[in-house]
Amino acid sequence: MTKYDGKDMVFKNGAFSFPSGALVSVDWQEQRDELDVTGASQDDKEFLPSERSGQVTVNAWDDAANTIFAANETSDDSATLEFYPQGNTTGKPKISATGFVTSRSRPVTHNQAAAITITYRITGATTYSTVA
Amino acid sequence: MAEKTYVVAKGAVLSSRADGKDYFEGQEIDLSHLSPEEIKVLKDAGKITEKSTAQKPKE
Repeated sequence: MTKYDGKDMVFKNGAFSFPSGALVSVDWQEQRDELDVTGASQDDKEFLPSERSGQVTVNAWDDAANTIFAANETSDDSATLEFYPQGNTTGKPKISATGFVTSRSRPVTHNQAAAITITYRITGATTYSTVA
Repeated sequence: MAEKTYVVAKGAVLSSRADGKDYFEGQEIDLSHLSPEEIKVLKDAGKITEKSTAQKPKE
């Protein structure tokens, strides 16, 4: 079992690839709804698994030219989100899905580097593949 | 010159950087954009199998 760090990670929103020097973290979250089907006389709760959903949160350093923020508008149409946790090289894993920006923030603080956070909603299935 | 063709192995999904498409189990995939070393990586990981050795017809 080989461990890895996020140094080589790549994240793309459509044709836009986050600059490697700006990308800080990617959190590709997946959830599954549950239905409570507990009834009378049951002492232990019973659940049924339901629909899956997901969202992606990306943290990055802002750039003075506004490149990253401009490429991730809340008004943009859905696009293909691609995440390469170990880099876009042969044999490494890739996660992809269709998604759109649901929120973005850019707090700017005196004497601190400006960072941005962008959140995407995944719509439809997520595909796990290997880079070839 | 002999050219090898490859098929996506059982349970694997490959994403080609050549055309941006996903290839699923049993599908043929063009790996001509990869080096022999890169193809070996995929073979060793059990992601592809060699389908056949096709030869160009003699003229």
